[in-house]
Amino acid sequence: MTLPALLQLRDLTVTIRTSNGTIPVVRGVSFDLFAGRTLAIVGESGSGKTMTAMSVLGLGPPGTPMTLGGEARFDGLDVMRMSENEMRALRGSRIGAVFQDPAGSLNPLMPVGEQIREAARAAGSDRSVARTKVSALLDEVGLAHLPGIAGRYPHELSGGQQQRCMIALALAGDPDLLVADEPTTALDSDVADQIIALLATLQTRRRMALLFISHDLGVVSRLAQDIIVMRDGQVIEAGSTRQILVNPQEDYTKALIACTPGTGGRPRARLMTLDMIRSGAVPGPKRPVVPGPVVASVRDLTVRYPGRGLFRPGHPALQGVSLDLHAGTSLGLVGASGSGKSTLGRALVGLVATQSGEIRVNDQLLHRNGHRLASDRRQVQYVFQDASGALNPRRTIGQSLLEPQRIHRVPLGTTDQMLAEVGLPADIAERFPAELSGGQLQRVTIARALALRPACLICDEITSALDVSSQALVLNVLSDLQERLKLAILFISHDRALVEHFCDKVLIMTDGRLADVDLRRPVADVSSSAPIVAEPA
Amino acid sequence: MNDRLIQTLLPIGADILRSLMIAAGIVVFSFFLIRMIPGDIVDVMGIQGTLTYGQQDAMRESLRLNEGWWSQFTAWLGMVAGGDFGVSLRYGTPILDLLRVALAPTLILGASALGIGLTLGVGLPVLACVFPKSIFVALVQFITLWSIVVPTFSIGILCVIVFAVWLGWIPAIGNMVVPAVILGMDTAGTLAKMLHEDMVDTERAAFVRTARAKGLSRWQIVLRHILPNALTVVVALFGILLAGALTGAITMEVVFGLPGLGTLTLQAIQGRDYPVVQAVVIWLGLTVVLANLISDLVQRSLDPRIGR
Repeated sequence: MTLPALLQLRDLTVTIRTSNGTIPVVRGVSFDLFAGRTLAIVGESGSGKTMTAMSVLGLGPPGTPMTLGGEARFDGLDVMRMSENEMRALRGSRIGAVFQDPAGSLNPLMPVGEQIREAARAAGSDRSVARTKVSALLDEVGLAHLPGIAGRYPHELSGGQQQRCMIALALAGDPDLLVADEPTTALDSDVADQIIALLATLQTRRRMALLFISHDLGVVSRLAQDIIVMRDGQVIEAGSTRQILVNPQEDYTKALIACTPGTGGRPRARLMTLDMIRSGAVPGPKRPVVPGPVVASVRDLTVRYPGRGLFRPGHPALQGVSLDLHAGTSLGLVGASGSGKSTLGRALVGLVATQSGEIRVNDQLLHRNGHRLASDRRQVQYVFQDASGALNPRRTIGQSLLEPQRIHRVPLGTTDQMLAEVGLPADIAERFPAELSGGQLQRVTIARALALRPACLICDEITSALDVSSQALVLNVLSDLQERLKLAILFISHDRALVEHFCDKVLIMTDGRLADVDLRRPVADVSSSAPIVAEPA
Repeated sequence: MNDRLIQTLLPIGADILRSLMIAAGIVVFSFFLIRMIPGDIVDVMGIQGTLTYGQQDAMRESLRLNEGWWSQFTAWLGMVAGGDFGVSLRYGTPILDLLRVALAPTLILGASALGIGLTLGVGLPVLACVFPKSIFVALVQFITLWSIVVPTFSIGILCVIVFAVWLGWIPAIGNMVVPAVILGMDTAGTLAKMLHEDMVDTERAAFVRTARAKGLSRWQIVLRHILPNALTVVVALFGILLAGALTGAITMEVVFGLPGLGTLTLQAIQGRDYPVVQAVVIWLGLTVVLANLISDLVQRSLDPRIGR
């Protein structure tokens, strides 16, 4: 190719200054992105992939001074030497950006049409042109069929619709380059698929370059022609998508492929981890489990959330839900956010009152108003999504681990043993939550939930804040414990591939009602990098 | 569509209903609260030595103060319901006439204080947000600290001593500008502190990053995205700010010798002029209730997420 690259990075370094001194977050990244091509940067959280992309846009985190080094050229323009005003002229009109959290990325007080119009105006469109552009863009991202969509506020739209608006907004200036930073991470898998398809269509139709950032190789493989794998601010491996997926050279890349659930191959008993790759170990195939006796059963459960204030109607969260949890098995519960899956978990432990129906744990009927005896509470334990929020920051890990036993006045165990169960070193007991990683924290909360030897464990999105290799570790630990302790696990998640890997049975929840799922349904195979067909929006 | 209309109107109706209930509470409280202070107007006049015992009894009878609280209350309530607040016990003039005279200075003082407060309290944080490394940040901090540390009445007295007594720039009695500025500073400090903190928080929001990615100018980002989102919190406090300005106006009137509601109220309380106190309390209370109602409604119209 004789044409110069649209985006050219040479030995890019990014250093951020924090109260603890300067931290290099990107250490010498180089790549070329040509017009009309798609390049993906893949890596775990903290790998510097987002910082790399944001430095191209000149958008650092607010309040954190960022120092750039090396060279970054966009269409021959030296981005590093540009003033803020020159960068502003570039942003929006020549480089568009889509971010991870569509709900937060849109101004909640402004109708979406107005936000798109503002973007078009900022990119230099006339008043009248900008107005016609809004409807054209909404049509392009497949939202035209919704009546009065331009006048709606972000909170009146679903996550997928919000992200479509974000994409329309990013395209308002007809950019040559679109930067998409984890655009599907916050979305349910079905909706994520649609967004990926939309991005693929738009990229081809508009012949723009796409810089796609993700932690999920499965997603990336469907869009990108080239992949860069990043870790600790450095490029580990770079090449074409097929090359990276089929013939990865580096251990880290292999691990990243292997520990993503649903990335082809036979279902295995455990997910691959980086250590397994290095030692050459391969987990055995998945064995069918023999369900034990029913530990917890739910019959016709109804939960209604009251409306706030006078004259405000409540809304039903659960409408006649029934299920059985057997010892030694995992029951998966998938559904979009707001479908009521967390409410079910909360009702089981008595965090919300129920209106009708019954909950039995070990054949004991539990109180409807959420009241639980200490012995009931001991049987069912809850692991929350946000591990750092679930641990008291002023207590050491050891103090947090022993608290359930103190409350229930049972003989204190040793923290060494509890930590060993979840594969953590004993010296962690002396440390505070802020000193541990997300994956370590989540294993601590699992150890704490198991301190009272419950019969049933409710895992509510426990890995959604973790990257794939931490997720693999946490899930493997949970599988080991389940086998040994014959735990009944209710596994709540919005990630279908993950649930289908981990669970013996999967239920789908929509609007507070349950439906069964056939587990034999083939999961999308990522090793085929054939371009996907755009769905009609 | 009809459904949607009901969904919007229902919470507004609930707001209005709540305000009416609070207003009714104020009417009741204003009556009983003042009677909890020992001694009535006859005792006060008796202590001043202008009345004999016989005259005192006769006066109580003519003012119906010898009756029980309940019959006084129902009689008064009947009058108020008809829009008549009665006659001042001390001056014998209709209370509405007294209020009409006293209202003007208080209204001018409170309104100008609120005006200065809103201008400084919104203007400074906006400037501090647009120019984050400028003197405006320091000014926000200064005015915040000022409103916390400096009580209005003490700086008021100091100003009277310095500007009126020593320098002779203003009259010791009847000046409006200085108390308005003092009160305005006080209001501005409270407002600037909250707004500045909210704006700094909002700065980190993802939609501000989107606004930057659009290529908007700093002014556009601040005025169209950061300020409206930060303002929703402040609008909710408008009623409290107004109450602060009004009560502040009352102390300032006393310090600067202005013939406003504050001076009238102080004299009425000291003289146990019950109907006057009741009328003033009701008027001030209703103003604050109304301001709260308006700020609720404004907030509802600003933030589409409320009331759904």
